[in-house]
Amino acid sequence: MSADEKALPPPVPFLRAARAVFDLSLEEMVWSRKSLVMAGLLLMPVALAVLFRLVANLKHAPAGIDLYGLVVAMYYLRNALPLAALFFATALIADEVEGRTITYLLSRPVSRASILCGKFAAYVVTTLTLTLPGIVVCFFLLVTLRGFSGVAAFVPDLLRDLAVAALALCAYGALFTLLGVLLKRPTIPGLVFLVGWESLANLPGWLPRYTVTAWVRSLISHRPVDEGLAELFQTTLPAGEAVVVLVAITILGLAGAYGIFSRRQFVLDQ
Amino acid sequence: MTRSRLVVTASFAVVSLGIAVALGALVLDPARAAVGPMPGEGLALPAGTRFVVGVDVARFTASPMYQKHAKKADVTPEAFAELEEKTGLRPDRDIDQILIAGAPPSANGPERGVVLVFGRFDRYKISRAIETEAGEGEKKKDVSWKTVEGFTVYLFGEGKGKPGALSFLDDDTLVLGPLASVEEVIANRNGSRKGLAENAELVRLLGTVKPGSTFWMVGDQTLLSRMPSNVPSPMGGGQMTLPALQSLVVTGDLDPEIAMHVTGEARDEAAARQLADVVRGLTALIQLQGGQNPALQSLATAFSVNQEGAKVHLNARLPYELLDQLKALGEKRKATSESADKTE
Amino acid sequence: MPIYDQRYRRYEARNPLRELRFWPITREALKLVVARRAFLLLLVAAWIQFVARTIQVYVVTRFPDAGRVLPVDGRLFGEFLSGQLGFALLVSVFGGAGLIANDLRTGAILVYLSRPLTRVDYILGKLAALMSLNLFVTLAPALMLWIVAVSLAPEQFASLKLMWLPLAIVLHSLVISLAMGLMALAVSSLSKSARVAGLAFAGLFIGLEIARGVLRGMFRTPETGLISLQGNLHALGNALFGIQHRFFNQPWPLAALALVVMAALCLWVLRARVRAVEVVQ
Repeated sequence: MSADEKALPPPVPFLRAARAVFDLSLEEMVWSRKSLVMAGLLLMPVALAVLFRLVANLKHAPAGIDLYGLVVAMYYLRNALPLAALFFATALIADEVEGRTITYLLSRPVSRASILCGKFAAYVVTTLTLTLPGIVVCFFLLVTLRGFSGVAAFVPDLLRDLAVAALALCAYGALFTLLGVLLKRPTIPGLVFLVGWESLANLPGWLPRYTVTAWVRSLISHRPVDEGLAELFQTTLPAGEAVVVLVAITILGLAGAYGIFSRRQFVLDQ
Repeated sequence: MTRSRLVVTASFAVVSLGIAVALGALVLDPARAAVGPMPGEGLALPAGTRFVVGVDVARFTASPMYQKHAKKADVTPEAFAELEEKTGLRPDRDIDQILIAGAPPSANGPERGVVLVFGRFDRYKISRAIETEAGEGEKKKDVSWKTVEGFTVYLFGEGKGKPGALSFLDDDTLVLGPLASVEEVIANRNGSRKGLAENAELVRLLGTVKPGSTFWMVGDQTLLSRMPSNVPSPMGGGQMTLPALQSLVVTGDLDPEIAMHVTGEARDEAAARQLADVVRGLTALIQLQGGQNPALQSLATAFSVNQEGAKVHLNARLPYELLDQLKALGEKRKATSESADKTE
Repeated sequence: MPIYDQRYRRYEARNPLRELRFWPITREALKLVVARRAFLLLLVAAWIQFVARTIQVYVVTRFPDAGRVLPVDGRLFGEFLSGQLGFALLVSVFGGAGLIANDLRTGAILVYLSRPLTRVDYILGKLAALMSLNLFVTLAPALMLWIVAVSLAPEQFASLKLMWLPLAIVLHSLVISLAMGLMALAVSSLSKSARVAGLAFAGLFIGLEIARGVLRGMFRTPETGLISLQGNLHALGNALFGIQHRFFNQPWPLAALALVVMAALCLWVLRARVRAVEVVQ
């Protein structure tokens, strides 16, 4: 061991370092203007549900569970959650590069794995913080349209939806974290993935299996009427396989992101 | 605690509270004894039941379809006045739910069926009305009554071989149907037999139906085996064989539009795919036939098919305006063909 | 003159160097965006639908029976422009998200506005750049498609009955480009990060559309489409090209009014955010 190496402080243990990065990132993520924008998007269904309860003639309203299913399937799982993941996860490292603070982070005695894990954990907590209350409040606002009786029958749906939302955020988050460390400008490829590639879920055959959304959709029990091609070729994949695939996407995405992040040299623009 | 931590804590508090309330409802809700949309009392239905149909009367009478047809058929509150005066019953107000259960005729016996009506009944008035209807002398009708396991059962047409029967299971439940079926329901109600709970397949199917629909139906393989398996091919040129269905579940609403969800369970995934393709073919055919006609185009897009393993889901949403348009279109076509015939 | 005689005097800037003061801003913005290879690739990809529709027109002119499945008439162009909205979104995010956000981040906006330029010139310059890009993926391929259609089926498309088509194409393309441009610029002015602005714009564009879907499911009235920029653009296009659509069927005058309100809102945001001063918090 050389004299220089002896002089270096020992690296901070992984868990302690990840926790410190998590604390720091959570502070930056949750209370920020960005989160306010995303909160607007993720809590919009609550506003719509309140409006509906105030304005609509509940006697002639569609069944509450159908509306709740529409909100979960169409709004959250197909659109808002992937967008939120793209918004936050691509920024995990990009924000540090853009703000020129990556140097400070990388020059500390913490491993790159702990930085990535800490930041990803902060992303998961932030997005869950913004998403889950919206789903719960929408459930009670919409399913109780005709009174509280009968709510019990839909409780398993609520629990399942919350779990699927969390799994979807993890899978999309890992994928976009990978995109964020892989590309300098991940926004457009991310949007192309969401708007273009994910549309394969509406086509027949094996094509839905190549998307994330088809696996996510298969895990919930709500099947709202679709528009366009999806009307013709809706496919539901086996739920067991869906869980395995989404967990695999999360692990592989994070592993890939770590593989790139651990080797990349960050040269900041002057 | 920092502001961020406070937001996270508040958010998770909301979620935890919501889950706690939901779980509380699951444990405490008295409706938990129910199976799917069927109230617990429905378990008194005969064990041999092969299909059950449920209608939420309150939602049905509030629907635009009922309002429209009630006006046409003069089923107004005034029309119910006589019935209400005699029995104290106004169906659109006092009946909550109707369950119709039955089984197709088998080698062992004839077709069976029984109806359970849930609502608020004036037992005294109804009983009196029935007994008065029996009448005297020339007006005497074939109504009699007997006691079965402590319940008064009214028999209609006893002398004609197959008497119809009616009985109150309690102040809120009425059962009517053939005598044998009514007696079986009473026995099930008293606990002499297990009733529908013995029919594991139908109970499983009922459990898959979400409550809250205006109408619903579940049927098992026995019922569906009577459906025709050969249908004319949508593309013309002969018949095509449809795969047999193992079960069928239908739920639907009539307000604000006719919305139906049909789930058919086929033998295996391949059979389900074949069935889904047939339905898709039909939809595509309507679309082709529709050409430039927006009503037919809308009709084609009103259906969506989804295959999930051995199950095929068919969703349909038919706005009333679309039905009116289709009706007008049919009348127009009929008039055109009639005038063409006259010209010839 | 003693200093106390120097009262307040209005700043008298020199005369502008040219009539079109916004043009250098437009030119430089376009140069910056077009210099990126990925963006050029996106612009090329935006013409894929043109190729597909050209094949459709060709097939239908040769095999008229195919017209039953894929009808070719005025509606074709409305559907084409609706289909291009996805590319207009991507182009607006790519080309428009950083237009003001980057100037705010680097402080370049102070340099711009200290020149003989007004806020209107600045916004007009940026808007013109974004509109040009949007018109390249809407107006240009749509007009080209019309020319192809007229050439392949003159008896149908060169008839008096369809003479309104080029006018409708120009009008709808302009409305799409203006609405997308204004909204992208307004969102860009609300952030100092091009990435955040881009994602916020995409979130707003898609979020309002899915909110429309949810509201439609709840209220079952076509007017719910008025909250969505995409929905209003579709509705206006449907009215212009005579398309009957199951979902985008809000009355077109209301859709046009909603677009005007959205545009006014965007202009108000731009007025508030584009300033020659920086508020340090």
